[in-house]
Amino acid sequence: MEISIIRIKHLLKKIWQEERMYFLLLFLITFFATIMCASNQLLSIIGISVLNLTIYAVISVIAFKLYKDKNTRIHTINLPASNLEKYISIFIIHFLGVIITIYGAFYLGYYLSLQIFPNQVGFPENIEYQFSLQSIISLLSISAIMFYGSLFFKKNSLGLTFFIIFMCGLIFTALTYLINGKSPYVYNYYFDVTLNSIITIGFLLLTYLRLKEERA
Amino acid sequence: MIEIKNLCFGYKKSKMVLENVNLNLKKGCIYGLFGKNGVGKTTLLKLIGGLQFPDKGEVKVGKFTPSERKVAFLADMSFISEELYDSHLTIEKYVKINSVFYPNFSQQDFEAYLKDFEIEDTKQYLYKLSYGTKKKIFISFGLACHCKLILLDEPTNGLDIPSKSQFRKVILRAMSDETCVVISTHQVRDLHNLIDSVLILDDTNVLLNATNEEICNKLFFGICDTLQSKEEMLYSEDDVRGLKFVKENTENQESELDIEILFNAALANKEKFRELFS
Repeated sequence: MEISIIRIKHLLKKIWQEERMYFLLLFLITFFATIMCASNQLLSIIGISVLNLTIYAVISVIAFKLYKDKNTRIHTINLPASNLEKYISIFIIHFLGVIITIYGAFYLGYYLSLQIFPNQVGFPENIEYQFSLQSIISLLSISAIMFYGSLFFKKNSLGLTFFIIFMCGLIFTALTYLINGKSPYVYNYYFDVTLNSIITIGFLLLTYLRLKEERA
Repeated sequence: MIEIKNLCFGYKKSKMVLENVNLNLKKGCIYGLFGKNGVGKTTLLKLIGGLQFPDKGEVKVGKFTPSERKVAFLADMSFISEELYDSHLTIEKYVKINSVFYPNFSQQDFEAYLKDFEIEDTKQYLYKLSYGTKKKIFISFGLACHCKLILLDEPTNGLDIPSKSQFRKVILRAMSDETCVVISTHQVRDLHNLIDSVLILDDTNVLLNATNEEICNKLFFGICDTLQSKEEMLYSEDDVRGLKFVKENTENQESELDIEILFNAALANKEKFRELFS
């Protein structure tokens, strides 16, 4: 297994140089959207829900952008770095980086909006939940599925991945009803966290294995 | 340097592009890879460059298996494809962040090749440049990496006439005894006096793999009066100067290789060529 911290550093620098405008745009949009949402109770409740959806959408569309077009795919596969190094770099920037950028912009906007709109409601009630382990693991698990979808589907990755998640959920619910006669969604904190952790690790691993098989 | 054994590949199981291909390509040579549209020239380059995986058989470049995509192999291989990488960076910035991956990259040589191609301003954005100009930049960068294996797919497409002769000049300058260059192209005139070996693909396999010297030892290329008998000729075609032809070189005469005539003759006399160059 070839891995070099120096090459990962070069890859991170390369990806960052080529994609930093997207992150700046993402940060600014999320920041100003947060401040605007804070002025209205209904908008602030909707805003929290849209936040995670935005992360899923962005990861799905840009995570493996380098592998979507033929010309960029040839260039990326030929780049003298191992598949693992390329994967780690893309994971850091396009997975962790997206989540940190959006949540960073959100919290910065949130704390600034407290100064501008001190009597806001909606946001404070949901913030504590966003920080919980359950919420973070849940976010990571769906993001990991979108991450895999970004590589697996060269076109329309967002729509197709969401469709697959929806269909799997539908089939799982239908099967559980058929077997048990009741809904599978009986809330259990430990089951929820464990399942989401397995999904996260599983899909991140699947993505790496898929990356090794990429061809141009 | 490149050893290909019983290589089989197809994008679909029902239609193989390459079947049982055996090939040996040596270092210190510039190979011209020719064939009709869709015969598998680009596919063969991609298999050698590790961009595609063989269905059966083996491809070896030195001690490396290209499909394993080892870093040492990738750092010593330059693949300049027909489709160009689109970047929002300037030429200068692109070179700065990509050259670090190639240990043998020479900034001096890159600038010299750019100068040969008459490109001076490296602060231009790549995405704003024409296809031909981008091509020159990527060729210059690819050659300046001083890789042992250089694969070029239609490198002269999009180049203007002066640039085509500059291309020949920079390739020869980048060439060394340790380098193997494979150029896939339809533009046979652009490779005139550049290549020293000819590779022709046809019908899922190699029809011809020979050096210019071997070809000219076995074949005679000439021009004659249109009224002359065509009995001995393997192939002929009308030209402004008369009738261009190729025939077996039974009298050990010297002649200059005409790649276009050779290609057409090979396709018209496949069994004869296989017999002559086996």
